Amino acid sequence: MFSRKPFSGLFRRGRVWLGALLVLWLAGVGSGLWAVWAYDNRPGAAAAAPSHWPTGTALASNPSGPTLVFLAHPQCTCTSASLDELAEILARARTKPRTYVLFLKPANVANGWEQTDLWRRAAQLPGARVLRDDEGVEARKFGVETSGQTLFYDKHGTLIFSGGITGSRGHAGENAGELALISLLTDGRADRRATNVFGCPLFAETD
Amino acid sequence: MPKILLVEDNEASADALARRLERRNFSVVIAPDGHQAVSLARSTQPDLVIMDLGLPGIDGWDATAIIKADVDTRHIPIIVLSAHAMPNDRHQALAAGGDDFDTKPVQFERLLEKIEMLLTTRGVSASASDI
Amino acid sequence: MASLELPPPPDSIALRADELFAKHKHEIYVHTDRLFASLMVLQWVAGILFALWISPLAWFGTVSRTHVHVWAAIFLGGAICSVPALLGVFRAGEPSTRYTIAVAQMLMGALLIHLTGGRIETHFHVFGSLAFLAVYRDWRVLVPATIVVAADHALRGVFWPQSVYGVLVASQWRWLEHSAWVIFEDVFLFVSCRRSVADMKDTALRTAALEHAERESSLTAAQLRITQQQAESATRAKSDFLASMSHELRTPLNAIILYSELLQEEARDHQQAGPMKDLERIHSAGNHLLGLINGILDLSKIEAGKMTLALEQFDVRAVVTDLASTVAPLVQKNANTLVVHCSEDVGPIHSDLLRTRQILLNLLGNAAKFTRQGTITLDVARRVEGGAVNVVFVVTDTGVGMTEDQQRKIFEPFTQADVRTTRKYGGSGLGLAIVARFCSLMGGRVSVESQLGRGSQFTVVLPVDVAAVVDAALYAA
Repeated sequence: MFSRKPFSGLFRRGRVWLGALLVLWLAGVGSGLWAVWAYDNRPGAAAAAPSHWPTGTALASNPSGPTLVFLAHPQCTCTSASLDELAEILARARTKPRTYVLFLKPANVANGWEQTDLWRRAAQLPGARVLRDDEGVEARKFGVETSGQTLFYDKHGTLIFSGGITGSRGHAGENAGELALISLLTDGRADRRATNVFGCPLFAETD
Repeated sequence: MPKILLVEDNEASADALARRLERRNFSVVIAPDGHQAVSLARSTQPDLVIMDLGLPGIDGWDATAIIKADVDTRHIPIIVLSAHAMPNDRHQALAAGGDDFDTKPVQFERLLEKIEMLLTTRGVSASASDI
Repeated sequence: MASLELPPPPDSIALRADELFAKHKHEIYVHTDRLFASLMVLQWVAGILFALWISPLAWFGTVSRTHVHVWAAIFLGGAICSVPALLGVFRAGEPSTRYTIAVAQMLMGALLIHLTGGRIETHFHVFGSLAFLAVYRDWRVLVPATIVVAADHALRGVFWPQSVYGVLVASQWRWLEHSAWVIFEDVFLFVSCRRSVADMKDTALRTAALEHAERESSLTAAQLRITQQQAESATRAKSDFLASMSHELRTPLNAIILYSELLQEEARDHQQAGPMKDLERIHSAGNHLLGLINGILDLSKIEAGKMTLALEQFDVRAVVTDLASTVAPLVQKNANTLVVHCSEDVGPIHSDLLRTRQILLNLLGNAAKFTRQGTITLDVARRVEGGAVNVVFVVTDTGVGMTEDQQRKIFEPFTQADVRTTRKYGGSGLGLAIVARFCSLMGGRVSVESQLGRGSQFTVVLPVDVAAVVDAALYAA
């Protein structure tokens, strides 16, 4: 009594133009989305972190336990996700490391430029010391170029882990870096020593 | 001899009734329609009118009413005859000015009685005599 | 899945139901397409707002540029939303429109999830979108939607595995769980859509059947009106016929009877015995014919409902006495004896004098006709039966009587007891039919009891006040 012909509407003459349009459209938006994903998944420049705690840094490593150094661009919105992950790590770690959160303050910017929402959130992390890194001196000492870079040094000052703690740019959620750090802070073991870091570059190309 | 004006459009009925009345010593004038009934009533001045209702032209009701309205003829008694014999006819006939009412086919003796009654009340002597 | 308990519908109803269902379906598609067109615009704007709120700028040291997400929200979002929105406005109702909308909706979801940094709340967009798509009631739109969601996961899983869940090992379970949630919703929505469609078909069928019934009933009503009008005009025609026939039949008869009487008188005058017998026969035949015509016309009038009663107050005893003398010659003709018992307290009756006389004359005439050298008795009394005051007339004779079969048919027109009786006794067979009808017209009744060879007894019961018993419309005072 009632006809059943699924999808019959698509296959009719005169709809060829519409079909062509739709195909083009799909291709277009598909590429667009691809591009966005590609951007979000392009890792930032990895850090050339010293394998041993660098000298000349204002930071003091922790002689009785691990030290965590987190560097961030205070304006970088993607770093918000990294901070979330950092909070997650600190919450789930058995051994609480000494944690430094450094916010870059470049030259030629107004006072308080670095006092962003990220700073305030970082300040609320338990046991974290939030510091301002004037002109990126510390960042260069640690060889960090991308916001969100996290460095793990053991009590001997040996670099154990260097990498990002998000899956893709600005993307919260379980990721390899986070799991590695949690594992390090719990069993003292990790399945990897480095991960991709996703975030804004700390220094412009001209710097 | 009393004069009767018989208004009847059916020739046979008129003739039969007229002859029977003549045998009873009435003189009968026949009018075949309402129009002639009115004019003959005026001209011949009968002692009684027998008016059949089913007439061509002016029907029996109207003819009766006209005769009764005319000052020259309104004194003449009228017996209205109808083939229908419905109660309404009796009332209608009397309302139109008829003095009495009877049905068709005619029951002659009954009709005679009515004629006698009307003529005596008008003071006209009727010599109804059986032969 | 239909829940009809009705028998299979005739083709015309099924076709109409198809029509109604298709129309309803189309209306839903058009309406939902328009809804989504607006929704697309809303989502586009939402995407831009999200991008501006969450990640407006990308930084390179001290240099800031508009974040890629913002451009993506404006242009990619616009691209994703524009085509379905336009289709929804200009090609609402087409299948290609809603499939495009389904695809675009999920793509937009992917983009929004991305623009908001994968926050968990934005993932609800997927489930919400599927549910909204189910508003179409067309389960097929869920197919491209689910494909897009699956493709998004699959492609990202292939190219950027980390972006999906992180560690590949854990992703097996997560993928399964996510799939399970989407499949569960799809199945639920599929069932829901199917049930909705079944309901719609059911409704269409019922509506079609209802339309059909209404059309039938209005046809029937129209037919009834026509039939009624026809009946009314037939009745009017009958009355007019009766009126003219009455005059037409009686007029020549008048001439016949008058002439025969005239000729008899003239023959008597001239002492001509020869033609007397012939003339008498003519006269008798004429009267017989007159009796028949009167009977037929009366009967026709009653049947046409045109018989009116003329009610008046009259004394029963006086009428009975008068009748006794009227029938005396008839009674004597067969050497019968008439006995009349009329109680003193019968009193007056408010009824139709003419018809009452007619009834009694007929019964007494019959009794006289069918009895030889016997006795005819007329009993008249006043009787109170349960609240009603009646006058009861009983005509008894010691005549030939009737069989049970004859008794049953006696009051029907044109059935004298049988044909032989007519030949032997004369009469028209109409009298008792008219008696019966007059009785009922006056709110009374007539009945008979008889024994073959012993005699018959006819009982007539008439109410003392006809007006009180009968509908006012039937009489003219």
